Amino acid sequence: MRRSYKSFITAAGVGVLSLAAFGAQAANGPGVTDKEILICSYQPMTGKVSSYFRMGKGADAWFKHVNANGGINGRMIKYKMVDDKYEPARTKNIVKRFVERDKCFAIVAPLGSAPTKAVIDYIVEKGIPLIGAGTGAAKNVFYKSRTVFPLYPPYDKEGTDLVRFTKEVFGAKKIGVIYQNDASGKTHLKGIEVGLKQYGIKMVASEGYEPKEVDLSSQVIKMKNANVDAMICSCAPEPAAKVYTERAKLGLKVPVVNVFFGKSPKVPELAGQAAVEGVYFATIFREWDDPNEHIQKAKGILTKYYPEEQHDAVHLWGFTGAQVFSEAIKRMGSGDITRARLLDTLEGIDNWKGSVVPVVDIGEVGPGEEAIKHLLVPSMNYVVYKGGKFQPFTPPWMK
Amino acid sequence: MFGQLFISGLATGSLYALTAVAVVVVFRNTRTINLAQGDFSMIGAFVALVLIKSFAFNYYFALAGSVVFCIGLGILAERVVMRQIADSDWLTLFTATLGMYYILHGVAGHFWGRDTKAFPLTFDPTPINVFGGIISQGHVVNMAWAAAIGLVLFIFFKYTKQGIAMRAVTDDPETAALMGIPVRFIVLLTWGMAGFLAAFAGVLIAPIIYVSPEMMDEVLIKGYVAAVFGGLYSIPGAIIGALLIGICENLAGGYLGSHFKTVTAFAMIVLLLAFRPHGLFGIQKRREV
Repeated sequence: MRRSYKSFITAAGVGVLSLAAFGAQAANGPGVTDKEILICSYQPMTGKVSSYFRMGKGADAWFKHVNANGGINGRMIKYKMVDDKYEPARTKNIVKRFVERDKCFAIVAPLGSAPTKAVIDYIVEKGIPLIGAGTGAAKNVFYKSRTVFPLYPPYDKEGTDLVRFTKEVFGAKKIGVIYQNDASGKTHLKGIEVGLKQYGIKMVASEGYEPKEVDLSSQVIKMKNANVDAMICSCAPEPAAKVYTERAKLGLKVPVVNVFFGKSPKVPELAGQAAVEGVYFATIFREWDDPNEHIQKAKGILTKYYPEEQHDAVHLWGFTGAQVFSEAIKRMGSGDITRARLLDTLEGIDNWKGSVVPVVDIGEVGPGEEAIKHLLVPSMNYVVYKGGKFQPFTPPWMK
Repeated sequence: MFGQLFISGLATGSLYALTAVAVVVVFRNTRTINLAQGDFSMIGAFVALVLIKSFAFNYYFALAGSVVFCIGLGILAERVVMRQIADSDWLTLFTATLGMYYILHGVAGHFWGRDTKAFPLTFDPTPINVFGGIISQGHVVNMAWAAAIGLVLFIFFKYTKQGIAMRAVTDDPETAALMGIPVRFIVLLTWGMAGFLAAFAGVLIAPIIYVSPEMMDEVLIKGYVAAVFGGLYSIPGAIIGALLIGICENLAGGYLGSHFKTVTAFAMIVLLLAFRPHGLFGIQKRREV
């Protein structure tokens, strides 16, 4: 009798504890325990555009710093990055594993237009928050979903602005465009076509390139042959370096403005400073030598966790998404962490100045509305590479 | 525009040529399509970069160091991997080189990092004018090196004892062995030669396409296509194939649009194989019945 009473008590205790544990798990979102939050990211850790892995390193450095300081409200952030080589087919498999096997709570600061375009339908369908993806492709930025929080303005808007830049800064009447033959380049091209009509400019040459292409000489030769007044280069750092090397070789002296995702110290490092001298770049992030306290703090953190890294704007892309996510988790307190609460909290971030970007002001996205209202960084600036460094440049309409 | 596209294409083709020749040399003597050939070059480029940056070697000493290292790498690949499976079918040999490809990628990434690195410009960046086309001095030097190596190989295969022995092994390894030719040594020599060619290809191409674990992936594909184009047994065929691919790619990019540029090499090979299944300079082997 005594034995069966004890057994009953034990069984009941185990049952209550199991229920409590189940209850705790059920209250928290997938990938969240009272000690840890698992978030995931796909990155081009290897491959031809591996310089963009700096985004992942920036985010990772921030989360390492957060964990070294006790985590957020007692929870550590486990940031899982997987290499997709910027190949959308790989990204699909990786994201499926994030969702089905790893049970990631959110996808934070992943990189790439083409990879994100390949997986965004699935991510949204599964209700996973996608925060600060490094992409400006229209599909990703204008996605009709409350779970998507794009990092920066869409490439088509940038393309339109760059046409204005060629007109008002270079005085160009006919331009040539070299673009990456993928979602990012094609979205730029779309915006450029809008700009051509808006600003009365002619595009007399437009040449695409594949990210893995060995030689970009024929594209630059066509620019020269078309006798363009100015060029827009929708080029990532490595191809941009090849374009500027070729441009210098051919003695093509027309002015160039490069899209913001090509602004990297890698460009003059690979092409040589002389080839890049005088090239303008769009940019959406502060320079690393900005005395702003958050930039200087980020600099220290990056140097601590990735001492070999040459500081680049792409690191700041990662810092931004990671810091906004951390801020939301911090505001959610030590209670249950769910995806629904995360979305509400993110939408409540208003005029926040605690990150590497000047201000984060996230809008609200209602049912059927586009995610562009969730932009983390809405504005764009310009720099020119002169005398061995990127220097701020203000076009006439921004003065 | 034609002249410039032609000259630039020729320069690009010369970058593919050394890899194409190495693919042919290995295939002729070992029946192996060496997928790790590009990675031998990549390792060669990294070794030269380390010698220049960390040990202050000048370009030529770094090139020599890279050549020695890559010959060793080729010999090591033969002794440790390929000799163990020498009698296997072509698929096993092919798979083994695929394994080496991934191992070398991993090793390079581990030791030197995965991001793209600049290789010091070794020649005056001022371009020169050749037949109405502008070409960088680096490209001219690359073409000169490629031509010189082609000449050295020609003399080696035509006039040296080892070269003639290599050709004998190519033609009929069993008869060559019966005639007292040390086939194992010849195969070892072949892999050493693959390393030699890889080092030159890697170091010459590095200032143009930069240094990273993936730097040679595209070049290997084009080099392989050029080798098949030339008939897989012919060294001059591989060189001509490489130059033709470089030129045609650039002309297609210039006149038909950049979208046609990357498919040109493959369109060329499909067309050629449809009309000449044994390649441009290949020998049609008759099957005995």
